[in-house]
Amino acid sequence: MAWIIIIALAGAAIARPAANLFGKATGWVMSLIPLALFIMILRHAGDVADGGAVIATMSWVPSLGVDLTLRLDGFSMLFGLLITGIGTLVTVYAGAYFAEKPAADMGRFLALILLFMTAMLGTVLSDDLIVMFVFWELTSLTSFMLIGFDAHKAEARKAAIQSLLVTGGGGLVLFAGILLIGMTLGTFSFTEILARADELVASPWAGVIAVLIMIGAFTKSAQVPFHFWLPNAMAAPTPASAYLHSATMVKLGIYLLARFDAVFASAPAFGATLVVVGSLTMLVAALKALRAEGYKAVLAHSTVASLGILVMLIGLDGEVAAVATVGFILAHALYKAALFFCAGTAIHATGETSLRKLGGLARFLPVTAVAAVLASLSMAGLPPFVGFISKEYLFEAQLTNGWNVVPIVVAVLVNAVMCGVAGVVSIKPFYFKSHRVETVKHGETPGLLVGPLLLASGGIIIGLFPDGIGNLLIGPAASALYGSPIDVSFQLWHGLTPMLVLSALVVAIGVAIVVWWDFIHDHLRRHDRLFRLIGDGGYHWVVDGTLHIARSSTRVLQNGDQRRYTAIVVAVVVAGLAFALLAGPAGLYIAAPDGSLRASVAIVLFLSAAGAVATVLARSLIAALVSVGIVGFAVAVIFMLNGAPDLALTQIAVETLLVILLTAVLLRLPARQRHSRTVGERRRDVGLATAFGAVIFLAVASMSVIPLDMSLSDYFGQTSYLEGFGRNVVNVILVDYRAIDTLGEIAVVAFATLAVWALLRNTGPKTRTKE
Amino acid sequence: MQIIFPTMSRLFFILMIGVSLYMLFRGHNEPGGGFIGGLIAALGFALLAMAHDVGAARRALMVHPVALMGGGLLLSFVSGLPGLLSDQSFLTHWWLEIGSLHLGTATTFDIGVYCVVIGGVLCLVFRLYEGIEQ
Amino acid sequence: MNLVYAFAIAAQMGCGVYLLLSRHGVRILLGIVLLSTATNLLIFVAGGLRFTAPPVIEQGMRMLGTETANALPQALILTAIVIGFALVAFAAALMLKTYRSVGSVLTSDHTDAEALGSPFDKEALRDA
Repeated sequence: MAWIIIIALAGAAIARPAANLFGKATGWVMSLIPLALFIMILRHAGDVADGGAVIATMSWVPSLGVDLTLRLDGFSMLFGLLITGIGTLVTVYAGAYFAEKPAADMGRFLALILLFMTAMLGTVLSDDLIVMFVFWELTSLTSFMLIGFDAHKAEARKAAIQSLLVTGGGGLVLFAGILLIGMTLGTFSFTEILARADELVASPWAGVIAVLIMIGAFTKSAQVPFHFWLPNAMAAPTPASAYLHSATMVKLGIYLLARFDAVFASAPAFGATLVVVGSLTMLVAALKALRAEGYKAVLAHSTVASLGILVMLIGLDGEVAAVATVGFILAHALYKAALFFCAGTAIHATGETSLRKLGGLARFLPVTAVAAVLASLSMAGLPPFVGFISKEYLFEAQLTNGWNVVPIVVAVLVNAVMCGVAGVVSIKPFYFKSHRVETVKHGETPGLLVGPLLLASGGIIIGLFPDGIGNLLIGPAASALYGSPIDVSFQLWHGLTPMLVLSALVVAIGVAIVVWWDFIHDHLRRHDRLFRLIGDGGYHWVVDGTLHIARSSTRVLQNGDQRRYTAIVVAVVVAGLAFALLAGPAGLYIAAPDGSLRASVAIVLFLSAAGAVATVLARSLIAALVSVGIVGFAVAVIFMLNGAPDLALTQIAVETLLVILLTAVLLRLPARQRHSRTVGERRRDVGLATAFGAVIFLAVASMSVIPLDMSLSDYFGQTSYLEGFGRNVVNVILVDYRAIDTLGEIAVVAFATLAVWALLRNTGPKTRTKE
Repeated sequence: MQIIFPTMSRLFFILMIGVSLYMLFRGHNEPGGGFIGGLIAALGFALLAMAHDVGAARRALMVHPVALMGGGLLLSFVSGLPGLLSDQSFLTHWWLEIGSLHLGTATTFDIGVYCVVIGGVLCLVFRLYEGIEQ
Repeated sequence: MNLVYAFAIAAQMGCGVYLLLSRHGVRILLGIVLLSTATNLLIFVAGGLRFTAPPVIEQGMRMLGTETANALPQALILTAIVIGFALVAFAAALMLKTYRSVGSVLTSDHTDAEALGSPFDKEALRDA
């Protein structure tokens, strides 16, 4: 199964050279890769039919316990088939869409699309949550690249950053949730988490985990209050919108919620939250869809509404809800991707994005118009399309759950709006006589037609013969969701049921919306305040606020005066140390004089302190350098008096070299030194330095409270000769026990001195000729 | 003074190189080792550079200081490879026992340290004393 | 004894910080030297100073005697001394190079970056 991901990745890698090689046919050639993957996944259909799963494991980061476990069950197969199936059509469509553009553009686009497909497949196939998260974030990244594909447009860049901030930020929240799960259960394997769901729900972290995961999913699936990024993401080229922002990526949040709904099955608040958030999203998105102007914008808002429906469905319990979820995912992917393709063709042909300015396109794009009508009939939920079946299940799930009347009213209204949108987006641009388009820039080509036609006719074929797809896909997927096998009768005709009445109501209102679209539209456009409230104002407030904080803090902290940076660092160190001393476990403790005073050592120590003070007081730099040397030699003597001859020798040698080198530096600098600080500055610095010294004094004085752990030193002492064959323990530690450290350290010395060698290269041309 | 210092510096230089090598090789059993040895040797070359000129010290060094440094780094790194082969552990040293004398890759490692320190310090000394006339 | 060590370390570090706060490049450099010397001494003291015999195994013995100085901090400090030296040498070279290109060792004269203006002002200009 790992081959699925490897092949997809390889496809992404060869897309660019392939575009140069095959030119306009690239789309057709490259589509073979997702098609092959589609078949590979389909071949597992038999394995998952009874609700089972195929599992393949390989070790990835064994030290962290992260395995690359791939798991294919009915639900991931549904996603896998959608990803590769629509991926195939998108590749073909993109080949035609970019036919007039430079080959480099097409190569870049296809590479991103296939990379995105890899990430999607990885997300839905991985069993380990860490691995899933990595792929999850990769989808956010590729989405960012695709939205910002036309990087020369400011609008595209803005939308790309917005989507990255929202989905990437949500991903981090999700990651926090995943880590908490790992902390609670000690595993990241989803299979095991599902098996130990009770343990997780009973843990004190359960609420936090559920909220974190929901936020992660809501950002990805554009739920209120994160719904604003998806319509803006329409700045992406249309094939990407069709693929990422309607059919697949935005459903990842749904995927995640559906998976975790099983885990949190025993926590009713989880489902209830989903119902509330889903319903809110549906309402907000439906309102915005009625108000939107752009062709793609209307579709995007209706996508958000559909995602809201799915979130609500996951929140409901029972077999019917599971079937409804799966059925709706399938139906929505089919008709929405088809409609996006049609929208793309219409916009591509006219260069006009506003729905109001499009009309009468059926003369130029007859086949596209037919596909649009077919897809929108499915979207409107009319029989015999698959959209009708899924809507019946939606209402049935709501009715059997015994929820009160509000969500049902919301569902009817929202579905009516969707029905209206379906009518408007298919009829208005293609058949209405107002704003008739007189010429088109591009006509239909086969590549532009395959996708919409296949998807739209798929909607009616599945609607007419629902048994096959019911047994092949819907049944296993719903069973996997529900947790036990469901006997699904995915049927077109359910008889005269309450659901049918609701459906009829939906269609009636929907027709009314189509008729009075312009009226409603104009009316809503006048209500600015309401839409500002449900727009992305909050996002801008947060982003602008963050930038404002960054700006003002930068002005204060990074004022360009190096002294101030140092002073801030020193002050923070002083404050931190003082806090640790006062609040630490040992408290402030000063060891009483222990009578071990050795006169020789004490004298040298006072000498070193005197040397340090002399450095500060010295008028000339040479005198200061000599004083520093005194400190160094005094410290060397202290090393010598305390049984560290190695250190003493090293310190003496280094101190000598330092004097030699710094003398050479001083020789090249102006000898005269003027005060670089004002009196006030010096006074403040003295205060800061004194505070620093005082804190250090207290820290060192109270250090002896904590008993010293000598086990490591004792070990070195005992084994140095026996295992390292050396009598000088210090040297054996350096070259044997901690040799890798030493290697690193000599590498640092080498690089630092190499940098000096390079830095001072141009000392003079004379030196060159000497060699 | 102008005559005595340059003349004596040759003698001191040879003495210091001798001491540094002594320090390097006795380092495993007595105070000393690659770091100290390298610093003392570098001091010897610095002495030469100050008494005569940088050119004299570079001639005495024979190889380029950067090359010496790189070579030392490489030597230290390579000395860890045998351990990788036998124990799957980088820098676990190999030992050869001849009577009471132990020879091992640890010594090679220390020689590498010695070379890096000499090369590195001399990079600094040569660069800073280049162009300073007597 | 402990307090005398604490006093000496504190004095070195305090003087080091005072020099570090200077605007003169060489004094900053000397501050770094003082700070690193004091830090090495601090680590040395933290390792315990009970015995004054070097951690060398005597001839004829197979293990280190119990009454010897702590070897581990010595090994750590030994490399720290050399690295501190390399750091100071690098900083000195950097300062020398800066002096050559700017003509001053005072950090208050090193204003090439500030002269370019605030990045935020640029952003505001571009947005407008």
